[in-house]
Formats: sequence, C-alpha cells, structure tokens
Amino acid sequence: MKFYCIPEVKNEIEKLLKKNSYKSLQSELYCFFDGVSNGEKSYQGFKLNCSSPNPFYKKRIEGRGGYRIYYYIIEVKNSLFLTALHPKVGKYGKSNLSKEEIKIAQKRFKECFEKEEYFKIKLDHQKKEINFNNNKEQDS
Amino acid sequence: MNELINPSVGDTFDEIGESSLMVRNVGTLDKEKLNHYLDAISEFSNFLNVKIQLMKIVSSQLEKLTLIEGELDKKTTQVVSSILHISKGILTGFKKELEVIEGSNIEGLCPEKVSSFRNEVELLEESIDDTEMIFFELRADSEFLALDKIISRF
Repeated sequence: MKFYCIPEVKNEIEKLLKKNSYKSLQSELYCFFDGVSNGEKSYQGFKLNCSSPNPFYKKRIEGRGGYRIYYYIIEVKNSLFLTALHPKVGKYGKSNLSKEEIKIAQKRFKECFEKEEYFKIKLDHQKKEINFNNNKEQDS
Repeated sequence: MNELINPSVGDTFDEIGESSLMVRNVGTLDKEKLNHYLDAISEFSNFLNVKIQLMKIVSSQLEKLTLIEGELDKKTTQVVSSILHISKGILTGFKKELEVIEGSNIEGLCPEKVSSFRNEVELLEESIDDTEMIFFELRADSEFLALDKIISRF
C-alpha cells in the first residue's frame, strides 16, 4: 500500500514535531504505516462512512493521550490518504474533531485528490521515520 | 523519690510506657498479616483488571459496529441506539467507581493499575462519542454523504 497526505496534514505533523512533547509522533506514525505495509489490517479503526469501496477511518494511535488520525483508503489505487491528524493532549491537543471539522477534512481531501496536490509519505526503515515527497515531483 | 526526678524525664517515661502498652495491643506484623494486606491489594488490582478488560471489549465491539455495511434501516437504528444506551450505562458505572478510587488514597498502592483504569474509561467514552457521531450525525449528513459518494468513484 502507498501512503499520502494532504498539505494540511504534512504541515500539522511538521508543526507538532518541532515540539519535544510530540516527538513520539514520528515513531508512532512510522509504526502505523510499517504495520499497514506489512499487510496487517491495522489500518482499520472506526469507520466514518458507509457502503463505499473507499472507507474513511478514524484511528487512535498511542492510546488515550496519543494522537488521532483520519484517512481514506482508495482501494483501486491501493493507497491510504491521511486527511486529518491531531494530538489528544498538550498545547495543540483537542479531545476530538467535530462533525464540521471532519467534513472540512473530507472536502479538502477531495480537492487535493482531484488536483493531485498531496504528498507521498515514505518510510525510512533505518531511522524508523517517515518523510514527505511532493507527489508530482515523485511521479515525474 | 519522685521529687528528685526531672519532670521532663518523668513525662518521657510515662509516654514511652504508654506507647509500649499500645504496641502490644496493636500486635506485631507477622507474615500472615502481611499476606493479608497483600491479598487485599492484589484483589483490588484483579478487580480493576476485570473492569479494564470489559471496557476494552465494549470499545472494540463499538468499533466493529461501525464496520457494518449497508444503509441503516429503522430496526437497525433502534438496535444501535440500544447498544449506545447500554454502553453509556456501563460508562457511568465505571466513572462513578473512578470517582470513588480518586477520592480515596488507594491509587498510591497500585498507581499503574489505576492509571490503566482511568485511560480505559476515557477511551470508552471516546468510543461511545465516536459511534454516536458516526451513526447519527455523519451518516445522516447530506453534505458528508454527497462528498463521500464522489470520493467512492476515485
């Protein structure tokens, strides 16, 4: 499976990683994507939509005080698109995304997908980290 | 004779004498008593473990519930409502227990277990909120459904 994220999520991850209190995000995301790429069904979480070939999930990573990620799986492209992410605690923490915030993330994903404005997420297995590549640069 | 004793030494003598009697009355700590206290702590820890496992099961079942396919008919909606109602009842019970624990000093005896219990209470609450929002807000929202339909063709 290939992994992507919309620009807002890339910016959010980069913002969070600048703070020491969110350093665990890097390894948590790596573990999540690594698990999925190893064929685990670990991408399943709470399914937000219904009866679609492209499921939209919310997943908890690192339990209670950790992070929440939202993503669409585009089955025919065997791809996962991160559409929203937030920590539960700390300076940028929030308890949950509201319905309106989820709808905004969904709308942005649609726009970014149609314009191919998204970033590819690559796994660095040596450092156990994730990196971003501009999708268009990657494909050219 | 008493007049020759320093009054503060006399007081000390009395205090220590009384304490000695009290020590005898309280009894000594032997292995049996120590095991009794340890058993009580262990019982409390096991009690929390059972509750933690129950909460994990409820949270996991709620997650599975969101994976069901197909539109919600009236009967299924009623069943989902009932499930959420029961889950909220379970949560309320656990929250009350957490309040009792937090109002006592027992957390100091097994802090990790109490912390796990607290975590699981919060996760269960989040699971209930998520499930409720998914079934009764998001999947009933025309804008969300319309966009999802477009995305389903990607």
